[in-house]
Amino acid sequence: MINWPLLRWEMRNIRWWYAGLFIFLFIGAFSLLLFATTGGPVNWGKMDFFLFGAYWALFGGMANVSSKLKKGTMAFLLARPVSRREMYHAMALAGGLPIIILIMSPVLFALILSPWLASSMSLGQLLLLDVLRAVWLTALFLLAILTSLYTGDYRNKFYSILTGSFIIAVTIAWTTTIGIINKRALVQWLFQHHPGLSLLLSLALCCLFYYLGRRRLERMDIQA
Amino acid sequence: MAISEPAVLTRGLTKTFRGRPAVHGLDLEVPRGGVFALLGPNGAGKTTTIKLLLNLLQPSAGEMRVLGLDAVADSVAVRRRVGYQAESQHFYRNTGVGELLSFCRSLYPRWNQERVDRYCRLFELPARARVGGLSKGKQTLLALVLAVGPEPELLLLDEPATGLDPLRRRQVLKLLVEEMSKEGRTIIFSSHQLQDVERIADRVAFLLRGGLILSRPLEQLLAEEKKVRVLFPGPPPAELEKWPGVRRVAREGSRLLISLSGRLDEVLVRLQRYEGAAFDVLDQTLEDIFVEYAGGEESVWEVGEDD
Repeated sequence: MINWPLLRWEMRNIRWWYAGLFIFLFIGAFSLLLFATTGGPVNWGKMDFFLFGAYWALFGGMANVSSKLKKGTMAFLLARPVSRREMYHAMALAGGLPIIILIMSPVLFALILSPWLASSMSLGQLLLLDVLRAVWLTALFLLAILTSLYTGDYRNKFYSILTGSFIIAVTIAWTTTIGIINKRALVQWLFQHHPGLSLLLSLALCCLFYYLGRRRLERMDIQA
Repeated sequence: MAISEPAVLTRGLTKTFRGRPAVHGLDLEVPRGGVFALLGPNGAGKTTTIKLLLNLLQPSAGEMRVLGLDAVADSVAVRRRVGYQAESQHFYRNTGVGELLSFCRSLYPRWNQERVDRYCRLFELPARARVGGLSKGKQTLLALVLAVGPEPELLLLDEPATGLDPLRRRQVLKLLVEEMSKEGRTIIFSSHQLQDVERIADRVAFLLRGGLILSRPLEQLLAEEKKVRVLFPGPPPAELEKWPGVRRVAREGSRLLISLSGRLDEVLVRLQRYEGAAFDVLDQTLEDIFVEYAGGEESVWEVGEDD
């Protein structure tokens, strides 16, 4: 299922991308602490830099798959004893895990800093909010991989622009619909309406995009 | 797995790209051991065939067995035992040579580090060099080192001499024959360097428009493929093209050039029956045969048409 040397190799090859993500992480945490009202509770759910970083991670993940197909390194790897399933898992984990870590980091901050700083949300509420965000972003990340697998092997900028536009459109539609940008609406939607349904829906989308992406990679021709 | 099973066996192998066949109904059998050359003009399907054997491309139809295994269902097991050098190299350019070798080593169950180190020294590939900074020739050599590292039972080399100067080319060929082939490994390579093929191949196969047109031991091919230049005093025999062994008849000035595939003696006996017919037998190089089969000499003479 997981080829560890391949996963390490994948992570090694996108190490600068990780560095960028973690810069976002530190800027986000630092700015929130810096601008938090002195004495007032910190709203860990209001960490815009983390979300910014997550969007950046999504496009980075997509670019990683596309560049593998365009530069021929996918063919280089798959000419070795590496199964396509392992290849898919390595790409998804190397790109997806940091996104999840990034999104879940407010919980970690809240947990670590709870003795010193009061939080406007309970840890349970924050955990639920971040889990939901992480699963939705994972679904979007898997969708990005899926679209890259369809368009990345065409050496045509038109397809890349089309894919980029599609992802942006999905992102905008998504953020305006369930309120990732408008977090107050999201919190309302989460806690007052259907958080369970939202979680189920995002998990179902994760499964669907995972299945379609893996199937696509298992069946596609790898041209160098 | 029976040891007698061929290294590669394909039956009706077909690959189409957007409806256009790149490989069409290919029946190929490569025996174990020795050096097998895949020849054919550009677009004949050589690279596609090699990529199909590695399961980089999915077959549209047909069956493939590599080292006794199903090349699609058991593709990972196949690739554990196969070394591959691509026609053009697509490495991670920002990686060091040593890092790349070390990563590839971690993917295989076996790895001959002593051989890899020796080849790296021989080819002047320092471990610290950045892959992207290597010349095209050096990248080809690095790909060859990566292909032989896992001690493969089968080496698939797609244009292994691309970008190499004549000295390096000879060095590589010598290594392939003296080390790989003599250790009982099977080498399949495609090349346009027909002198190289003549130098090292035991067996050759010609592909044309995605199909196999012949597969024979090289010695047998060179012995069988002859040309006879003949001058008939009168009109040539009407059924000349239908004589056994005659593949094509072309006009060369006032003479006819008969291309034969075997049956030389039989044809000579028939020619001797024509009083006054002067003829001589010409040996062919592999390049002559390649050009003939690749359709380089288009002007097939229709017997009786001109005279």
